[in-house]
Amino acid sequence: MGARTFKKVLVGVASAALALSASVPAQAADNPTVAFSPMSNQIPALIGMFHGFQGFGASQGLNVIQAPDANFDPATQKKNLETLIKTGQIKGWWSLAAGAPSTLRSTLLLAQQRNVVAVVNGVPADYGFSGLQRGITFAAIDYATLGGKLGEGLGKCLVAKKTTTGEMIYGINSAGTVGGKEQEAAFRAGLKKYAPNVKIVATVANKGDQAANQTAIRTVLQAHPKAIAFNGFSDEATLGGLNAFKTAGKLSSKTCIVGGGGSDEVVAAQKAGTVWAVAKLDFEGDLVQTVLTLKGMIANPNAMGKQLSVPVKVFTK
Amino acid sequence: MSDKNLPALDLQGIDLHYGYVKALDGINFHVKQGEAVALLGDNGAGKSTLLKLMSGVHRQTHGTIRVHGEEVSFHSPRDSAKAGIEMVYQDLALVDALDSATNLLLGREILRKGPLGWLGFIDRKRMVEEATSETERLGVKIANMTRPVEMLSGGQRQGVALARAAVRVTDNANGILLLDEPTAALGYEQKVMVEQLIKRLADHGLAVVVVTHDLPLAFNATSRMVVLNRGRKVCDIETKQTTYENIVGWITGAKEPQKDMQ
Amino acid sequence: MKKFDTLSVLVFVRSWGITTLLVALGIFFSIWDAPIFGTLDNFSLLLGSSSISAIFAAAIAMGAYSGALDLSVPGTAAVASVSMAMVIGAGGDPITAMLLALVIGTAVGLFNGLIVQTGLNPLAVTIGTLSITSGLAAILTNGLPLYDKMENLGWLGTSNYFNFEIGDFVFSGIPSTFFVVAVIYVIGTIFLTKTRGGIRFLAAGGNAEALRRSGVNSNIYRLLGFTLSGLIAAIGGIVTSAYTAQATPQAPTAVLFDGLTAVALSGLSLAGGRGSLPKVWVGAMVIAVIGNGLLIKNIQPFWTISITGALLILALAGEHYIGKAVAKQAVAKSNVSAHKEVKTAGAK
Repeated sequence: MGARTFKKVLVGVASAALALSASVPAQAADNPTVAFSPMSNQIPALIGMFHGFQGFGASQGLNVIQAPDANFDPATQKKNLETLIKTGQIKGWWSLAAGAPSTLRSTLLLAQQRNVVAVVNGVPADYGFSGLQRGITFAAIDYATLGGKLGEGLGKCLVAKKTTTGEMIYGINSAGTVGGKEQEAAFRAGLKKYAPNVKIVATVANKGDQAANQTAIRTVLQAHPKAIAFNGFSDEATLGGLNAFKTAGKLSSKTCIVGGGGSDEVVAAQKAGTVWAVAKLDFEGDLVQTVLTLKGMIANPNAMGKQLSVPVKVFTK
Repeated sequence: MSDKNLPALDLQGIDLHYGYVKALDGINFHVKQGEAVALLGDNGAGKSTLLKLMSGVHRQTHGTIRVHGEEVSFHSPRDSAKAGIEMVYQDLALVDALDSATNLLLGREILRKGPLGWLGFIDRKRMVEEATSETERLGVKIANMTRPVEMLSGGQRQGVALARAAVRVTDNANGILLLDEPTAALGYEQKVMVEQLIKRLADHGLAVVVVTHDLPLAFNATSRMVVLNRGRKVCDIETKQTTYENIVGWITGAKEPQKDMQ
Repeated sequence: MKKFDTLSVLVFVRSWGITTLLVALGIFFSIWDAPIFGTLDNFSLLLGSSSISAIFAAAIAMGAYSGALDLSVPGTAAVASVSMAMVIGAGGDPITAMLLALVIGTAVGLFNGLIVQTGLNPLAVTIGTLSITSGLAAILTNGLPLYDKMENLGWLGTSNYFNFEIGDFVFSGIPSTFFVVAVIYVIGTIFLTKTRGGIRFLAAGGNAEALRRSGVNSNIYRLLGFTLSGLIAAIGGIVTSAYTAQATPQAPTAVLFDGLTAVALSGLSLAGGRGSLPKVWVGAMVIAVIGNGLLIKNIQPFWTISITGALLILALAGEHYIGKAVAKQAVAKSNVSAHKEVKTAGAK
């Protein structure tokens, strides 16, 4: 193939692309574009979040796109956000930091330079700021309440079933979970209020997926067949524990299970009665205030941002 | 005994036993400087085994090896290399992605003069010059010294491998070259080129042993032929004193072994 | 007669194919994504966003050249960067901390190389090392990322240099991370192409037996391959930590995908011995350009991965086909007639 043919091919491809781009539905030129950048695009709860964000955002005149998957890697998340900012793609974003939030500090400073606004999780100190910033709103997660409500829930269940001195399997977060230790401390405090003498016979850390958790807790039940209580801080831990008790034949009217996460399956289990209490972050409820906040900041990027709090929703008997 | 008549490589009474299996049985074999000898035989006759023994890969159960009159004992291929024996294996051992000059001078690269040389920088120009003159001396024509050897024809690659071995061996003027099936998988024209090269190497003074199935190569390039059959030597005769039929007969065993072969 | 003969074309495609691809992609996206893509600023952005994957690609390439596929690279990066972060967080001097990370990377590389010399399967060994180093990093930090005082590495990770303004024209500068890439690639290329050590290094990967028969100890070069891979992996970890102002104990195994893709795109045989380091950088740029170009047009993220994957398969198939075709063509051309030699060399 000579040089001339090569050029012809190139021109052909370029024309095809131009034609293709013309056929891509043009977004309404006036609607500002904002991006959703969670720590992972694969988590089902966050996929649902994105769709909700997109739908409600559209109703409020925001064009919502998803940033390329950060895959739990802070470098990837930072690179993707900065590319979106520098190429002028977005007027704002909502992020859940992958890894330590401090990585995004320079990204936020860049955004301020370019009048791009943001809603980010956490508090100013997480990003190395001493106070509120213009164009940035912080959404803090109240880990203490989250953990505390679960602890109280378990305690109340033990009281109701008269098993306050029974054996329990204590489920904790996997190492490195943001807010993990805070939740656990609050959990223990809440539990102590109602059942200070419960016996913790085993501690199991979240393995990250339901099957692995199920296997682990099943094994623990072999060693401690008299356990009547379990707690999880995430969907996969809660469901793993629930299934483990079921398959071991240990799920009885005397069993107490509480869980975090808050997926549809877990909430359904609570409604069915196998799980006593569920405490979840109400991002959906929070969605409204997030979208409205973004809209307001885009209209006025120089205004001082706020500190919001993500509410905790509790389902309990 | 004058030096001229002393064989470069002299094997006497070589036995190689693997348990009850006699891979080699009472072999006497020699080659002189300036002589090219063909080592022939059917599959399993022991010719490759004998060659590998000469190169130090195998050790004999009984028998002696003498290099230029001195008895030697090889524990590894390195020992035989030190004694001046170079073997060119069937796989040629060339680095495909590197060019001919680099392959030829692998291990003997020419460094730049001065501080760059201390850091290990090579002098490409001088390397190409050196490689070209070395191969020209041997009459081997390599089309392009700077093309990766994978782009050469089989015969040319064989030429590079032979030239490399020959050069290493002629540093020490009494070198011994062992070739294992040098024309396998070559086309006719390329085989003729290899024949020429072997003759030239022998003319230069090298002692060459060629293990081969290729009878035309043996007849055209060597001055003496040795045939093995089932681990024993059945003939050792000057090329011009024998015929195709006789050699084939010795290889297949149809013909009686020559007298005084033990 | 201006007709290109087949061999020259094939050799050209093999040597310059990947670069042509990059230029073609650049032209394509400049037209399609006008006016955003084809700007100096976007080019500078690309240099930056391709930096980390280019560094890890170099690590994998150096290992592959000497015949060693080192999959432990992400783990080495994690444990090296975590150690550096611990020193910095405790108030230590950043330069010393970085040197420590480099030493650790080299040590892991040596460890890999020495174990492989005992004859164990390199792939299995490096996967094992990946587990060990990842576990070590998690133990050292209790699973948490370290970010205390890490913003002090901003000069390395998040700065731009050589920015200027001429009238209305503003150039935002070259990202600091790219300078590391440039240093690695320049030194690496000079080593491989112009030094004796580099040649023997490539030979050890291409045909270790040939090197051995030349009287050179090929094992030393295999060891060097693993060591360099570990060292460059540590550099990758340092740069990533500088960029993100934190050191995460989770080994970034995603860099293996990008790194192997860039290396495969560069036409490097994963079996070793052949390779051009600059082409590896071009491969990393191709991946970055595709990601950047599609992002600007708002194409769904999974298209980027699919396209890159498809491109990889095409590149591998193309390299295989071209390699065979080149050999065939070259042989056809280089067959000197032996009969001519009989006449000139003098008759027997």
